[in-house]
Amino acid sequence: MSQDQGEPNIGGITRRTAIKALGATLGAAAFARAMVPLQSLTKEISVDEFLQKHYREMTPEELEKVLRRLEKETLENYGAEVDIVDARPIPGVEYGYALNLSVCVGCRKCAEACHKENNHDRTTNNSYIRVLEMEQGSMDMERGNASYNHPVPAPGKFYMPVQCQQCANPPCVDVCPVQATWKEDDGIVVVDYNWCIGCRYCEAACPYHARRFNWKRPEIPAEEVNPVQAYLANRIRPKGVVEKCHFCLHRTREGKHPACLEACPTGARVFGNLLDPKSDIRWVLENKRVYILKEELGTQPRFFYYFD
Amino acid sequence: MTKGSRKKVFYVAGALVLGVVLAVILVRSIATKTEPAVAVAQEAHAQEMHEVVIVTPPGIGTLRTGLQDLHGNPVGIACSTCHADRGAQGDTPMIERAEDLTEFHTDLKFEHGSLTCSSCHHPEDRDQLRLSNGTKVAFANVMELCAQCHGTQFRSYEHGAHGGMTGHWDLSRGPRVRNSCVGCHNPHAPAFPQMMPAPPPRDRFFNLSP
Repeated sequence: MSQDQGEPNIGGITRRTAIKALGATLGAAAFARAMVPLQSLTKEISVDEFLQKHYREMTPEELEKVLRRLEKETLENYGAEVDIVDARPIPGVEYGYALNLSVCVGCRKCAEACHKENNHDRTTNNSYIRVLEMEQGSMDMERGNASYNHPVPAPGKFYMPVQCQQCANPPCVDVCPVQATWKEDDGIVVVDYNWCIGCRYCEAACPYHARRFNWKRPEIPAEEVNPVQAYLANRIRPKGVVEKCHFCLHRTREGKHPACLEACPTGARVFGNLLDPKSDIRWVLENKRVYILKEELGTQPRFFYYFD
Repeated sequence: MTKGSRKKVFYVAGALVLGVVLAVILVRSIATKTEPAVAVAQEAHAQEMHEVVIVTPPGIGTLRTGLQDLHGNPVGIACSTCHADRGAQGDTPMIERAEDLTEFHTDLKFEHGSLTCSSCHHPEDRDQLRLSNGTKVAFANVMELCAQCHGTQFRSYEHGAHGGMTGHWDLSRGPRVRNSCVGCHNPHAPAFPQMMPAPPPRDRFFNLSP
């Protein structure tokens, strides 16, 4: 068969070449379309952030760069000049927190202080502390009411603030598929907000409902942003990550009391070093009637409730 | 001594010295190994500690006028200003119950058991308080007076388990400021009053207010 008969040749281009060109064009177009989501991705995540390592794998120099970048981003996004540090555990310290259910009046001052201290979203009035109004005679936290709004203490009720119990055996850490949350040497369970993928497994695993998910970018007026921040603590969290109480580690690792304790008007809260036999927290645990929330789950909390 | 025995003594002495050195090293390594993690915290205890300041309300033990001096301190009138010639000192009879007050202190709300004025206020020296055994106590040391009856609370207070505070949990790193009894409790009506709580969370799942 001669070539003239088999392959139509228009203007020097064979059908084979034309089909190849068409295929290549369509393929390139499909590839370009498939890559479109990346364009919107780069608007929210910078290259530096995308390539950032896990907190525990960063060298001090890398971490330093990250902290400065986060400060810059906070200034750009919130108009607030902040100071983000990397607060590390104090050797020989394991924190414990005790709360006196006999004197708590349910005023929610602790939750309010947490809201301000930890740069929570103003629109949801979020806080790491949920104060539960409970029927006297019951210790079932699942029946507690967190949304009461009447003069307190109401007759026949008692109040149980619930926040992260900083378990020694934390179920939330076990379920994290990317190790974005872990237990530090001083017993505080922390989250690397830049490593969290937002799967919310930890939120489901926590028996104390202590974890919160950022459904949207937190809204905080520039003048209300708390500028004293730490990487694992109260720096403004991005959208789509989980956060939790960190015992105000940006304060407590400097020797200060957590914000919720300072706000408590009744002195129901006792904080200190469990390893120091002379500490107030040890006196409470040794001399008061102590109750551990959902003790039967074996989570071994570092948060204790007690009665006078 | 022969040459051989001298050599022996030399060897024995050498072995002894070596043994002692080894023993010291061994003991030291064991000691460092068994040192607990608490050591650091206890070391902190041995350091110089910052103080715990107990604050009493400004102008305590005076009649508050609502005025302030140049330093912003409240201006109060000493109790003895009037009580020098009233009550036990003066010709007016001593009033012991709040409901009998018709002339002065009429706005005083008294809900503190069956106590009378002179249970706490010194009847002769109105600028002082008094303990149950008659000892005078300054208004600034009012906690001593409260502790006579409220021992459980005072014991808890001494261990940081009663009363609000600010500052440092670790006194080796900074001071602590604590409230005194009367900073939170009105001594004439000490029960904590009811109050409106801070606003509840606006959580999507918690908008079912009962």
